Amino acid sequence: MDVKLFDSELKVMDVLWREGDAAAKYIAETLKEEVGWNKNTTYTLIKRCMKKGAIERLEPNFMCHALIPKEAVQEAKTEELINKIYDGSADKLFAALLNRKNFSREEICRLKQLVEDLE
Amino acid sequence: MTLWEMGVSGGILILAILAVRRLFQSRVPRRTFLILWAAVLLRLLVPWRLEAPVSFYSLLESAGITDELEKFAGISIPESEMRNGSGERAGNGAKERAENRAEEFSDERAENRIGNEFSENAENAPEETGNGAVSEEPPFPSAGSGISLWKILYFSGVLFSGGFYLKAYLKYRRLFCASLPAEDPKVLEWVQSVPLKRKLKVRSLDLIGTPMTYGVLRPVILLPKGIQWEDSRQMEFVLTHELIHVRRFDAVWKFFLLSAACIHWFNPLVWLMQILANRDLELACDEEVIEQFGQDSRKAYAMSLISLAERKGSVASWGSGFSKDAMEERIAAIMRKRKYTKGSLAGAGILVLFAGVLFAATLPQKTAGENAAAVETEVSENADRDLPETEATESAEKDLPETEASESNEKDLPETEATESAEKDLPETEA
Repeated sequence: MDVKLFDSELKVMDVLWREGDAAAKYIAETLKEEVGWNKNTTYTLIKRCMKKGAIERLEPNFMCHALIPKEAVQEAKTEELINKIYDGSADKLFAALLNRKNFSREEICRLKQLVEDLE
Repeated sequence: MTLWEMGVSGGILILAILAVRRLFQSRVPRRTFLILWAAVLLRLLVPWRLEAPVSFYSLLESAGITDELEKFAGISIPESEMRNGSGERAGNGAKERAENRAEEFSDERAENRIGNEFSENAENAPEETGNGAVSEEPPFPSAGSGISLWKILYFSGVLFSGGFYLKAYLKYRRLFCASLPAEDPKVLEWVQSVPLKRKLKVRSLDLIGTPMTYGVLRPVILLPKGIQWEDSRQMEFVLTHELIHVRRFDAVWKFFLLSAACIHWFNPLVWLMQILANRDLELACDEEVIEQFGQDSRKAYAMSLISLAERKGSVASWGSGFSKDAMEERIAAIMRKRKYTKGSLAGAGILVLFAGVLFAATLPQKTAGENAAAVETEVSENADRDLPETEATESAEKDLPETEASESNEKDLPETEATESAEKDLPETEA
């Protein structure tokens, strides 16, 4: 069965695919250098991967083992991801370029027409 | 100043700005309205202890209207009691209520801590008018310890709304942690060329559909994963737009807007302000982009925004009516934008002055006695000055009477009357 992983989780898996089994601590240190994540972030991602069945935890020392090969992983589709986190509070909290979730075909056409009309 | 007073006068300011915004938004730089909203925030978030000796309320009073109102309400407050409000409130008798009201208006009482005002006022809230007129109050349920139901209700509201946004903010920040550094060389080149004192990062995240920015000390621009720029111009438009948000510390403004909305959660005008001010933040940003890239770039910029909107998923959304209009509003504003002229800047200056006048005019009076004295003797010209000047008024009291002052007072009255009649029209039209 194909497992869907987010970009961030794929980054974690990358370390394991590249270097084989590694300690969680080592993964955190590597990723800190590569992408600037702090320890908590990496650990959270490792746990998420474990929940999805992509990583297996081995004792001692919180060793991580990749359960699935690279080929078996499907990148989660964009729409699925975006729907997961967007909610109306974001536009009040952060400066976003567009605060609408998405626009229908007709709405896009109408906006384009508006530009033409006002030109 | 009590919470209720802040809310009421804030509400008046909001309505005035709504009117002005509707009338002048295509004729002055959008940034003007941000200054006006800032004045409202000042009113809503800061309990001003410095009170103008002359204000709308005190003028009403000197005209004898407040006496009439008091008689009408069937309660009379002896002058001496008004002037010498006693200490902590004990219970709910009318006499004590009167004393407490005097206490609220007097800024001589050192014991009047802001917290006290908030909590006492939560009990007095509904029937208060700023001019000292007393009306019948429904008895408030209160426990022996003095914590009333209204206080609990109020603070629950604040906790609930504030908690909601805090929770959302923390959730997003945690998700943002897992973003990856941007890899597009053109983007990296752009970041290098940015002259900003703070260190700016641009990162990519697969969980978002639209570029956004967060962070005050260490600002970050987040780009949706795999964003394909149509051309380098689009990239510059988008990144510049976010950069302007960063430069203007819009994150801080959004925080203050949200805070005001949570503290005044019961006031629908404040929520309306929150929505409109947020939109103005975006519109002002768009304006600045056009200013930087030139009038000829309007169509290209508008089309860039639309193509960005296109790329998001096609799942049907619940999208609120506001946000559907917001995008249209932006496109129209961009296409209609004209170069700043001396006229538009002068207009902006006048509007800011107008806001200052209104701000000062809606400051509450001091106690009735003091004000009667102040009105009789000297009158300062603080009414048509901005905030920093109100501090000077207390010393100016001793100075010469100014004829301009009486003129500006007359000017105040029609304006505030106009806003009060506009009150009825605006809520419908804005919705």
